[in-house]
Amino acid sequence: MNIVALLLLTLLQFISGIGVLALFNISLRNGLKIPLALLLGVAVSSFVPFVLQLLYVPLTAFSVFSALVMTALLLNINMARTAEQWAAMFRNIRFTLKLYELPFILLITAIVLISVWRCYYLPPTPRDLTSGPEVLAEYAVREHTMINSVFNVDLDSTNNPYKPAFITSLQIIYKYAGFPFGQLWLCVIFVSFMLLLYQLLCENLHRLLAGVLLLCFLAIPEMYAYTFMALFDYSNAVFFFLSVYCLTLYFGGKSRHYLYFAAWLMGIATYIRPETLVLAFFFIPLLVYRQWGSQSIRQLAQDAATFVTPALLLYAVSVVCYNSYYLPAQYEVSNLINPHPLQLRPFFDRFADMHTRLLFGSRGVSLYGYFMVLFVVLLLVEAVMYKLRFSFTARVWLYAVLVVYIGLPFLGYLLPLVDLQHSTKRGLLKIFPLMLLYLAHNQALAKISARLGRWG
Amino acid sequence: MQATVPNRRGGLLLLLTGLLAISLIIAVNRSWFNRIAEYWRAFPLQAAQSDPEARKISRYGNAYILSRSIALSLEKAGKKETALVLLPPTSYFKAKGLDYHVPEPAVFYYYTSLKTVRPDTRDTAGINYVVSVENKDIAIRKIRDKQQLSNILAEYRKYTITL
Repeated sequence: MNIVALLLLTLLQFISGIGVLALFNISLRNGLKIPLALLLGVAVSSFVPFVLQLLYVPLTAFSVFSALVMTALLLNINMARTAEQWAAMFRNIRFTLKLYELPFILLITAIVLISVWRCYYLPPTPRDLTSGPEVLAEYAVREHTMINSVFNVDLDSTNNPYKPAFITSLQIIYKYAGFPFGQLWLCVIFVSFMLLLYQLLCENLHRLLAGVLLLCFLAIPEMYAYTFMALFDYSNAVFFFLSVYCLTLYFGGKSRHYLYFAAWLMGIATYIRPETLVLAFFFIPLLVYRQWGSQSIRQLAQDAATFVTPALLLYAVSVVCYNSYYLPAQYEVSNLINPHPLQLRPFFDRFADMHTRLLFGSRGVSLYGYFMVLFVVLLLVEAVMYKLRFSFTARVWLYAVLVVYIGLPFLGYLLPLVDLQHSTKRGLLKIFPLMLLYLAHNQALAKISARLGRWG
Repeated sequence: MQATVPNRRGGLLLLLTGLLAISLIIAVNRSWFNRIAEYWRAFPLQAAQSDPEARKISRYGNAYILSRSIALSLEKAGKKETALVLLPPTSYFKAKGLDYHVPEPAVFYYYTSLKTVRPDTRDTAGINYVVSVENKDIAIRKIRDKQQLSNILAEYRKYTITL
């Protein structure tokens, strides 16, 4: 494995990520900042080959890596803010580890390493990848363009080459870095996400409970499988989650920068999976509800527009513009929309099928383990014990859970191509991190945490 | 006011609680952990096999091996660049006793750099080769004329075409 190339690339992504945090003036403690910067770095690098392609710059190793370095430098151009981010990082280096955390950390590390190995070792497998982003990336490396000979092949059986360039771009970068199967960007996302989740759980819960919850989360079979089978959904779930997390920070009294940041994160989630755009609109009622009374109607409208604009822009560029003006073959997105919007039956059918055939059907446990059961039980416990008096942050996380819960059947109704057994099944990956963070704010667990806190 | 357990004893209690919780999680998710253990056990064998081509063969199986052999035959004949090959569906091979999951054209191109079409293709004009099974072996024939092609298409379309 070309470990030096991987480390250098990851470092470059980290520098870009710090630049993004500085740009949005986001200040977080190290435990959150480092994984978040890595995640942002991967997202930033996924735009680089795509932008080069939009500018018709040949995608050679030199052009791609030069552009990556240039991007990292440009994002850190505001030296004062960037220096502040770096200084804060080195000022507060603290690392504590309790003995009782060790078994969890060792087990979780082993499970994560297995995923990293498989991600590196196994060739790209899902058909959605090999018939789309992977074949495009493979020939982009040979022909130096994403608009390559793949489009001369009979593509009647697939729409995968027309999906946004997120994976194609990352595959190109990692193939040029010396990894024939690419995919290692997914490891960076996975490891960073695990670190981030553990830190977030530890903010509100005892470390023992944080370990228990993270292990339960890791043991969601479908979610884990997509940590080494590169596809859109895991990354989409991560950036969707990050957007909601930044919204909770904004609602918690942070500046408007956090709203802008949340909006861009939702934009990235939309760039990865375009139908996320619909889910972004589902957050407008939450924004209005939160600010109702404290803001004028004009400000409310401004907030709502701010939140969906990056998603709309990135959708327009990566889907509408790229497909219409760059790709040689036309792919009409408007043809995919349900021609009978007044017939609501498909929505209710999909909603029912999601329960009977996915979540609680015979395949439920093999797909999603027992995490859903854990969530429902703890939600009911809190609802009964605390008479539905959830904290505001818990309500935001629950609202986000509801957005995915209602939003996925809605997408199935709006876009008939979004099928149950593939799109909805994988779309549900978005719901689990949101549930996990709700559990971090569950008052029953907080009570147990307080008791455990007396032990050490 | 509640008594606080001394720190060291508390730490030990937490360690035991943690170990108990881990055992419980493993017991509840046993089938998943078994799969993870299989992945773990497969590691030494995989680590010994580092060649990317061997990894593809092991992962994709017959779909890759037979696709490569079709492409190789045409390459040896110097026809790979100009060939557009009609492939029968997977169900055809199954009926003929061959275990070959036929990759769709985009995936076939990824595996082999050879352009193929399925029998339900809209554009049949450029097809110049056809794959069939003869004596339980894969055969590649040149298309002689339009009549021959439409007969073959009609034959292949009788089989269910799946991804």
